[in-house]
Amino acid sequence: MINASAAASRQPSSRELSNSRSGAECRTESDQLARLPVAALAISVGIDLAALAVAVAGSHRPLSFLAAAGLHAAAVAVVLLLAADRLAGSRRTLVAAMIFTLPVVGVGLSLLSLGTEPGGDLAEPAPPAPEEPKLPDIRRVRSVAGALPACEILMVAPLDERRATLAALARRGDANAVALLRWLVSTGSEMAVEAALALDELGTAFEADLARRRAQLAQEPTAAAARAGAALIALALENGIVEPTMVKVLAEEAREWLARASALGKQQPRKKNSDDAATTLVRARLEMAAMMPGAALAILDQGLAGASASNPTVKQMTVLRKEASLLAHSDGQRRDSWSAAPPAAVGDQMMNVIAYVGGDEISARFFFEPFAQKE
Amino acid sequence: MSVAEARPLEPVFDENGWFQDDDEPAPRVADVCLLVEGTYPFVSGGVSSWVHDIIRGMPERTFDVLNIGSHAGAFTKPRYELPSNVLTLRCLFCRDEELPLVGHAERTELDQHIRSHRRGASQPSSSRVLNAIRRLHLDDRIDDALVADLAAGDLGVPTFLHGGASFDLLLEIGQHLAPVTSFLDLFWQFRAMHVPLLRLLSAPTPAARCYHAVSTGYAGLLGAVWGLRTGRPFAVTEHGIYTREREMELARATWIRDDEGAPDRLSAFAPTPSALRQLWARFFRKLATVAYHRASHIITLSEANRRKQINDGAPAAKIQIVPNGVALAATGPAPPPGPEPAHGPAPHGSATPSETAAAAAPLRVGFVGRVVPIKDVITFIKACDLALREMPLDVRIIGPFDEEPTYAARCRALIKMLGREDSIRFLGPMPPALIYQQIDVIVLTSYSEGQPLVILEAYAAGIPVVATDVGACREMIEGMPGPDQALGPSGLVTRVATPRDTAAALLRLASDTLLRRRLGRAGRARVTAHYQRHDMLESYRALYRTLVEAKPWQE
Repeated sequence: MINASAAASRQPSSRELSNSRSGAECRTESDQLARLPVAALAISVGIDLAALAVAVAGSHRPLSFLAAAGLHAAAVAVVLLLAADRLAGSRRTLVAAMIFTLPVVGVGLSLLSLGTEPGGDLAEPAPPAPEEPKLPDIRRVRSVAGALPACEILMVAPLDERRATLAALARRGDANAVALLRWLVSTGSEMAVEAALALDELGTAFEADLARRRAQLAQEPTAAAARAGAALIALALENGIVEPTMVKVLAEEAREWLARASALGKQQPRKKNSDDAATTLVRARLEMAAMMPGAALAILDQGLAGASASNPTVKQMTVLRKEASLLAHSDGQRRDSWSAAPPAAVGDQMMNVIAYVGGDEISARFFFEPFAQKE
Repeated sequence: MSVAEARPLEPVFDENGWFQDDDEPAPRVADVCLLVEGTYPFVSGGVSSWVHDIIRGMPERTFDVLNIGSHAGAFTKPRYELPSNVLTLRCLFCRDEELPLVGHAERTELDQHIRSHRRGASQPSSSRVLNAIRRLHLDDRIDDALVADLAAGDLGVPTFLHGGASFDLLLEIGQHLAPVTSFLDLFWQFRAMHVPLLRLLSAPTPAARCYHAVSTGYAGLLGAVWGLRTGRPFAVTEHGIYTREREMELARATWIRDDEGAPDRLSAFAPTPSALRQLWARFFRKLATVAYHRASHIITLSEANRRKQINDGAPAAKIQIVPNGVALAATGPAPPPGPEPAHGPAPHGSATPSETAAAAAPLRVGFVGRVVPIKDVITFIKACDLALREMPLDVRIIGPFDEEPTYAARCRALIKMLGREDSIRFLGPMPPALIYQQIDVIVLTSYSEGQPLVILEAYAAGIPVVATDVGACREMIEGMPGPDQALGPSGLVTRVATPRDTAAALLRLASDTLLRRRLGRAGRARVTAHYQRHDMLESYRALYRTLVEAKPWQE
């Protein structure tokens, strides 16, 4: 879109032309018209008019059409030959093309096009007014209020409902769903095998995606491809699809890809700033997902210091920084050893409420302090 | 030809799917017609090994083997050499092979053919098979009349597909069981559900003195129907619980579309399976119930399975537990009474010179089985990686890996990614006598098992086991209630898909030689007391005697 206010702030000349249909504001320079090959254009119009007359008067005889075509070609040739000193190559070709395509009126249109030039700046459209939040349907509210949380369904509901809930969780595949599936596996209950199979399916799909990314990067090594591969790993770590035992190895691979993305990004200086910010964001997400909030914090601080305020990723980085800061201060010690006991089973700390309403899934997650800590 | 002289077999089938046997040109009536689904002799694994063992172990009996497969291309080369007491091997397929796309002229001709068939096929509304299908879906009663209707076999696939009566039945089922389901979805699922059934029911009945299905499902139903048609007894053996396995698959199946925006789901507090999933689950439950109803004997492997079968409608009085068994000599020489540990450090400074020498060598951990997803080899590899972070191990994956090449490649890629190529090795299939001589601990991380032979073989060799809590594994490791439990545990039970558990168990066994020794001894005692091959064979010998001699065979 063209910024209308920028164009309006100038003093428009009487010869300024505007294109309101496209929203464009254009202007003409007074000296530009003086340099136009008016004589050549006038001769061209004259020849074209003659061609028209021959064609009309010829009573549809083939010879008259042939003569008219010859005259029209002459009109074009006049412009090409006589306007050579006044019009640059591309402009001359444009005028000739217009005259050739649109006999008689082509001259007028070519005059308009020669006399105008863009005068506005590109700008974002004004943001639409925020929508009023809609109140949910009362039936939906009642359903949510009365719904059992997913973990309770998985424990006490009839077998077919438990299976359906589990299948729905597997289809979701997000962090909440994966946490519930892992919790179900850890219970060793009747549904543990099915939860494990669902997790395996998610893991298989992730591995297939990862293999595709690796192949893509090997075939066409670009910063974007390397960053996309790292982002895929970061997302899988965030969602918990990657098992804790594999986090270290995959995080290392993602770090290598990000280093590669940075190296490849330096070869494209035009996009350097936006690429750097995007890489920083993925790197920070990765470290957060790999339970290294301190590293994430350092990366974000560095990234925010170097990023311009207009960069769209700055907002995301700021949000992530808050989260990293909280995590880094609450539990600065990273558990390196797999054999160290986890702080508590997921199910002890967390309760996911996923209600199914009219086919939609509404989820919320609650964290509970372990009972031992309360005492 | 004795049983030991098994025939190298390249099966050739005639147009009816019968195996052509040059040695036996005149077909004889077999003592037992064994019905299997997609296993023996084309797929290796637990059920196939069991079938092979039963047939080889009873040279005095003759067998027909009927394998039900999905389509003709599903079976390629047999994995087992058929023993000489197998008279015929026959394959029945649930669906045709994929047809190539036809051109315009051929399609026009096909359309005309279908139309003329439809005009000519005035589907009698009194089809007994159609009535039985109706009852399977809309009536809870299972009785002999239902099986008799199925056995009537008066409905072919073309008539079913183009007849008005079957369309009316589809509408009726839709109204009652899937009122908000897309009719097109219902139609295609209805078709996919019943066409295999009709194809199987219309197959010629092989003569046999008794029918023995090695699962419920299609095999069980066919056994029940053939038993009724011929007046011969029918028995069913279940290793895993077929209905449960199908329900697990159906819950995750992506080829069944769920109802979207169904109004009754708005008020539901919990998600319910879609009508189509319920339709399929109910269908398989009914097939199992028909088999349970008609079977004179229902055999299962463990107490846990027995309880599930009763829960699924099997009469308790018919159920008999016959556990799998192994020959004690098959896995090599028995360990000495007070076995010295082969590898790993001895605790509390009690190391003997041999133990001290062995302590330098890493513990030899074995996975024995097919490298397929259901065995969850991925978890095994992850667990070994975790344990390898703490101490050296020599990990060997023994078994065929050509059955699911993609999965095997995934396992190899994981090993490479973990940088464990030197410690975790694929050795391929090996004879049992060789396997257990070079393994200190057997690990099983399966998602699903019946009563794994590999555990029994390990016990016979005095090797402790780490296994997931699936099938009868817990019962096999911790013992059945009673004197078996007094023998003590013979391994460690872990949770499924939990590498941390398996790794912890491995480390515990690697660091505690006495524990390993004690578990191995308990395993040997357990297999000697409860899981011997000759006991299993004797049970089946007695069963077949009862079935075959139930009443005189009428030619």
